[in-house]
Amino acid sequence: MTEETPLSEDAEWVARAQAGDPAAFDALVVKYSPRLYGLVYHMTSNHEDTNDLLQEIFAKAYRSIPGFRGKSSFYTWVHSIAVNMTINFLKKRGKRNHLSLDDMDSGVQNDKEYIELTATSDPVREANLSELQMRLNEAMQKLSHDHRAVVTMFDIQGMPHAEIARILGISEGTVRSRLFYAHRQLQNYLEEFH
Amino acid sequence: MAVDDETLSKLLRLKRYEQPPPEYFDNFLREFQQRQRAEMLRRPAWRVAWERLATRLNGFFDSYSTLSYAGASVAVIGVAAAFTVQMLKHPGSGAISSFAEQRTAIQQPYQEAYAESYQEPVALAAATPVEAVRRGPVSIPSMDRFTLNARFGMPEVRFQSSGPRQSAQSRQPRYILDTRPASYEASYSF
Repeated sequence: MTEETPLSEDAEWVARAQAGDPAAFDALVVKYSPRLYGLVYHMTSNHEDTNDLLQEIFAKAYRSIPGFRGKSSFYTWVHSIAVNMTINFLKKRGKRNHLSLDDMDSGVQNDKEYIELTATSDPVREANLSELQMRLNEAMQKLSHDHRAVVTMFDIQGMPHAEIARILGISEGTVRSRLFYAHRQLQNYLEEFH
Repeated sequence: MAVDDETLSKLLRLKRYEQPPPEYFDNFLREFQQRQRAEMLRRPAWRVAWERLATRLNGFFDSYSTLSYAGASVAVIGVAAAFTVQMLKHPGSGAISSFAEQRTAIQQPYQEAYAESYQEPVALAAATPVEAVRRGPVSIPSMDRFTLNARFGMPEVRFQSSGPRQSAQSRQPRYILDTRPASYEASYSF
């Protein structure tokens, strides 16, 4: 999120990258690739596609950085590039389905919500949770690209509405309505499962 | 079991842990650098420079677009209006009239030459249109082929003018040498 990224540091790297210093751009790649990976991955649900897209996103950002004038933060700017390129990619890819990786990072064991959801240490409950996650991945695939983008940024990445609105170039009201509609759809898909 | 909003949000938040192993991002940077270098080597230097320049100019035009486009539009409209007013005030003056004079000067000698030649028509053959219906063998001894064809009942060959639809001028004979018409039209038109 923006509060996690010191903007002055970004601005300095951006200025150096604009002056032709590749190491400064590398620093930006290192800083933003995990977050952008999450964004692209949860929209494509495929590791290989995510890897290729992420390379292209940073290549485009590198080519375009001389024209970046800092009207928005680098974070917002590079996320806009990522979302647009991913949506274009998904439109071209069509309805090919790719389900999520099941290998969650070990950090999930310490997550408050994970602990809550599996508090009873009941194997049946854990199995259900795992099944529910799988169904959720399938349900995510059924959302439209725009709705999936909003759910990914808000629910998975925890971005505020205003930031999502800036990245997508839409109003906050539209972000909220897309979220509402996407949640209803996901709930319906999960109810069908039960 | 219905999944309420809160449970759904929690399930979605857990998806943030779906991450590749940490070494992936080190490899990612290396791969990015290699790709960048390969791309730079593949593209000619002028293209890289041009892309950079275009990106910079894009930014320039973005920031000054409103003022510059408005200014350019006003200038174009102003020049067009001044030119129109000038033309309305002095219709026979200016560049257009001098062009017309030039055109007349070029055309005149050709028009005169044409007028002279037209008064003395070339007498190559009969001055009346040919109208003939030939039946049976053609009586030209050297053209045996025509004779043979006629014996085997080949269709008649009619030579006739196209009749009363033609105007008085077009009924006059036209003489064709090769494919170049010695017609009435001027050779040059502007």
